Amino acid sequence: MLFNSFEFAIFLPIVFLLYWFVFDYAMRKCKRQLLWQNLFVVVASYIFYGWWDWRFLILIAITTLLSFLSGIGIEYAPTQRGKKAVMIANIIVNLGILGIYKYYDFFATQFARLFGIESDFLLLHLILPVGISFYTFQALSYSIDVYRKQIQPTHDIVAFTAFLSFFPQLVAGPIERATNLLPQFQKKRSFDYATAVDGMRQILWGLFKKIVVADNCATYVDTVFADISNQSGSTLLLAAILFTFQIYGDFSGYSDIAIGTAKLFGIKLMRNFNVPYFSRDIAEFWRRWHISLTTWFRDYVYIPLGGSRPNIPETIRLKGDKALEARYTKWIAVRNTFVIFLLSGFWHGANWTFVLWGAYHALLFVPLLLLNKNRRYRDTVAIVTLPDGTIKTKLLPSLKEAGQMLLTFVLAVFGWIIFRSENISDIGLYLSGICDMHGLLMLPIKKKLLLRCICFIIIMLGIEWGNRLQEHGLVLKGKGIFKYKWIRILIYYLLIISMLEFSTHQHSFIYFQF
Amino acid sequence: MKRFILQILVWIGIPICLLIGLYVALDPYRIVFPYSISYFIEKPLSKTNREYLSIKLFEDNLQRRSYDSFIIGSSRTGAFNSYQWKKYLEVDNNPYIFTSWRENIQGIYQKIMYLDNANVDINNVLLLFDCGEQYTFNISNGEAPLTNHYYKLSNQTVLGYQIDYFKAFISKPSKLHTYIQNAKQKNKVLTFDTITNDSHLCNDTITVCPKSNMLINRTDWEIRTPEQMLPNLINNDMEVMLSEIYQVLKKHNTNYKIIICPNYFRWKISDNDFLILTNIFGEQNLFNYSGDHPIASEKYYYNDIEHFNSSVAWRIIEDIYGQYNIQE
Repeated sequence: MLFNSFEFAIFLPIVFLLYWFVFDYAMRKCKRQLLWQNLFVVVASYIFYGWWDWRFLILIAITTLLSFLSGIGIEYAPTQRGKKAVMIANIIVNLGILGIYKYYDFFATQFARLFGIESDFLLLHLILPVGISFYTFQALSYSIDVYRKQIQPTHDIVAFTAFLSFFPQLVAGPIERATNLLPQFQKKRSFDYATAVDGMRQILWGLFKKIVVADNCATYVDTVFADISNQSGSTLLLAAILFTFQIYGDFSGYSDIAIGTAKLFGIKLMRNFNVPYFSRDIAEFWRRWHISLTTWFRDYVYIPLGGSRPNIPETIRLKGDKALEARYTKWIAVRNTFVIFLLSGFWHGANWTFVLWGAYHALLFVPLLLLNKNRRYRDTVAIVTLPDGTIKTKLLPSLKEAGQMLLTFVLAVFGWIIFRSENISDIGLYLSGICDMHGLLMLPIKKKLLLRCICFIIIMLGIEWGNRLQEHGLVLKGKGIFKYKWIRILIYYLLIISMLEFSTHQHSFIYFQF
Repeated sequence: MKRFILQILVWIGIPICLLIGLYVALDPYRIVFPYSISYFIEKPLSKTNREYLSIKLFEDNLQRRSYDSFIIGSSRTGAFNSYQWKKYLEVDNNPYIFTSWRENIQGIYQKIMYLDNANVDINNVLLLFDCGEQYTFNISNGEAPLTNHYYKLSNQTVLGYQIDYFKAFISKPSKLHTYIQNAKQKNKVLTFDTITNDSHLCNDTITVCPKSNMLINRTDWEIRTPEQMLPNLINNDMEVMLSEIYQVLKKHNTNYKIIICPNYFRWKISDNDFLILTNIFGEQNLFNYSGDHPIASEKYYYNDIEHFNSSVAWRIIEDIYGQYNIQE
């Protein structure tokens, strides 16, 4: 079921009403109210997922059961070694399932190519289950956190199943941590009017970004990428820029809808995007883009590998050479950076283009790391701190900030060309097309659609710029003319009308395929 | 909670109710209330689902007319004239044209099954297959609701059918003006024969739409590309449908012809798809005019980029029944 579908528009109110009126209010005196409510969440989530293909519910159920049992196994294993063995076994099985469905055919093809053999008989041609990468990573984080004693293993399988299959974030994240989400299913939720209203606004904003911005850009981008060799340089360049906003509108739109929907059920999900295109360097970009995945790799891969402060081996430490130790530390940090970026790229799909995309970003990140500038910008761009400690946003960035943002954006655009291309040769074709000066001066195709997309992007960026310190774009209350309720309502209706008017054929979310 | 529900009802519920009220009052697609065929003849509309009209007229006339010969296809059936076709049929055959906007293989299949289930004799059939990735061999619902299949044929529920139309109504607020114009019967585009369902839509016999819309009156001709082969479009599901169509035609001992229509952009059916059709229907029943075919080689044979004119249809009929020699 897609968030931007009619089915979901029917499904959500029904689930919402049953959740609060039947499984909360009507059962308030029931001792097992929480259990029933969680069970209802599980049923609703399985219906939501099964709407796409019920057969793959079995995979989610297997992942859930294995991870649940691994938590208990870690708890009861008598030795540390045993606990580790249980955790590793759970990781291997879960990654094994993911590997078979997502990567097997890719590796089989590469293997066949390497040895010059026919690959057809090696391939499984399995359908990739929607969201498998997301819920697998969420399941892994649970058993690792239990092993690290960051969370107590749960014995409540219903709460655990609800944690792993909670429908708003089941198919495309945010990839939640058990430390944040599981406790919320273990205690009674209460309805909060302000949170629910904010959730509705966030859903509206997410839908706008998806339906109006991303889907319209998709129409242009798909046309261009389907026929790269026959497009002018200007068209290729503009399509790359449009894809940059398409993927942002699509994925951050999904995240906003997911977070907003969760708020309606009294659940707080982690933030997944924080205005990434207002970043001043690529390190800041990665602190603001797909936060749940970036932090997942940081916590479960980068830091265990030593991060940027690895343990110095005895052989080096004994030499007492500080410069050598510093060089060693840098080398490990660079290696680890490459590891997580390459893994992050490969997580997106079984294609060399994703690996190359990861490597490209690693290459952009490493200079900052080596110059110790990767943590330069931890605040938001163009803000001032008043003497009383409150933070206010400036209307415009400084010239330096604008230049930094533009440069980061351009670097991101080139990354997205790699990401969007079907194969490596398409990347070359695309970039050579853009570099053709004659083609750059030609008029782009589909000018009307292009103009429309640019207008939508400007509206989206304008609203997000004004709200860059807020959780989402529609936190309008109490600001300037927005203090008037009727103005806010008018804006909400304008967004709804624009969604109706400018909706294209229903597009699935890009990240569903990952 | 009460406050939240109340707010939702006020700010979302009331506008939806108003929209539903407006939709029912305007009934822009003429499907909410029952209308007689004479209504559609007196007040032709542009926003009518042509398949709905085809089925309605057929059901109204079936008892009196005993139809037994059918042309089934998209708006390109509009170029065909059932009275001309009748010259090649038995004297007592009664032709009828099932027209649907952007008819696809699913719609053709549903109509054949519908006729079979209704115990209608199927003596002669012309099936029109359109070439192109968005045409006969594409089951997506391109331009809902005008291309939606009638619920009686598609086994959709009445509610689902009505909801689809309502969704289309609210999907383009800027078209509200058109709907209101329609309600006032300002847009007269479609007329049709009340016996055979021959369309009179922008064709060169009876023109009710502005002549400026027709290519023949325009100077800005769309560029005609050279012949290009289409990718394989017939998938397994479609192959099953085609086979079942054949089984029904065989059961009725039907004299059938499959026409792969010419098209303005010279798209040619792929060899593989053509082979599938040949294997199912037999080479002698298959007439391929796709690609750069001399029967519609000139751009003047087209009323617009979607539709060839009746002279082409006439030559196709003659070619099929052996009286027209295509000059190479």
